[in-house]
Amino acid sequence: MRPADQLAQFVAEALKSGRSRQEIADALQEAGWTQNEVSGALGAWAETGFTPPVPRPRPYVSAREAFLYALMFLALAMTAWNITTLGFELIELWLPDATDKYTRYSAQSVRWSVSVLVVFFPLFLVMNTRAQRAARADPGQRRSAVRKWFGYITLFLAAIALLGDLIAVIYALLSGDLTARFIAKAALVALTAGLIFLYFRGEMEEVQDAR
Amino acid sequence: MRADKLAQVALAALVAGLVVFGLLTVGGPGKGRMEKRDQTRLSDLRDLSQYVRCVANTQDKTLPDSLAPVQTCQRELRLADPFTDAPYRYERVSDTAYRLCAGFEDPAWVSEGLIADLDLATGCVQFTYTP
Repeated sequence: MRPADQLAQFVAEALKSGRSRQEIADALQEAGWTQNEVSGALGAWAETGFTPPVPRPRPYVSAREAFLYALMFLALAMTAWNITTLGFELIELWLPDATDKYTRYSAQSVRWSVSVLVVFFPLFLVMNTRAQRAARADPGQRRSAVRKWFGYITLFLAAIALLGDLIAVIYALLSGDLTARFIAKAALVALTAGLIFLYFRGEMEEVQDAR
Repeated sequence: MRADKLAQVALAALVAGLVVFGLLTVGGPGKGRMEKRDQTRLSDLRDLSQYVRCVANTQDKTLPDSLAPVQTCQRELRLADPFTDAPYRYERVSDTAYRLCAGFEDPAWVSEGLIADLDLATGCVQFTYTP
């Protein structure tokens, strides 16, 4: 049974057995649930004398939260993608490679990536800082399912990128393509994915602590 | 400093560095406008080249001496640089070759990305004509 279900069941049973709302709130807070979670759990039941307790209609997942995290996730994904395309263009310009004459530097691509980064990276930083501040103010938010899912999807994608990068390096080594240009590109991918991985691992550890 | 905080700072530094180097490499909006003007000049030269071929094809397979209008090849042509009003130059090199020139602002960029056989010093492109 999920923690949220347990909490709801506990509140329902406590109300049914005639405990006052204050008593239930005190007991829950003592057990470590936050103020918001307690009032949320109690607010799920209408304040009438009717037994068994009457549930209030509630949404399943916070749509607002889903919107915020989806936008933040998109901003991070666009940032990561354009860090690599922009970095690849600059590497192709700076590290000439006689065996790789078909990939050449394109000013259009650089301009596009710069434009994307200028919009999406600050957006990610602002949204993430706000999400962190909100989580610090109300530790119950760290238990948010939406937050956890986006965090673990990000970790998953970063891990896939790191593994794919390693495979590409080994393949290039075997097929004789391991040039300075290729090493620089692989290092950039590893750096980007590694930083995002480190960052979200820290975030997800907080989630574990908050359990 | 905690690892995730460090990662955030490093990510910000990476993005800032790439954006700065990217802009230093491709140039700012002024360079962008310059590229658009040079593209327009090159496109005008290509139109003129088509015109010269048309004139030669309709007049005994010989290249004309100038870009003077001809009854048989009616088309909209820009004979002068629309940004500086300097006329484009046309030279007949031989029976099978002619040259069209414009005052490119960044000839090196034009020759690198758009047309390889541009003379960097004169801004001339040589075309061949096979009757």
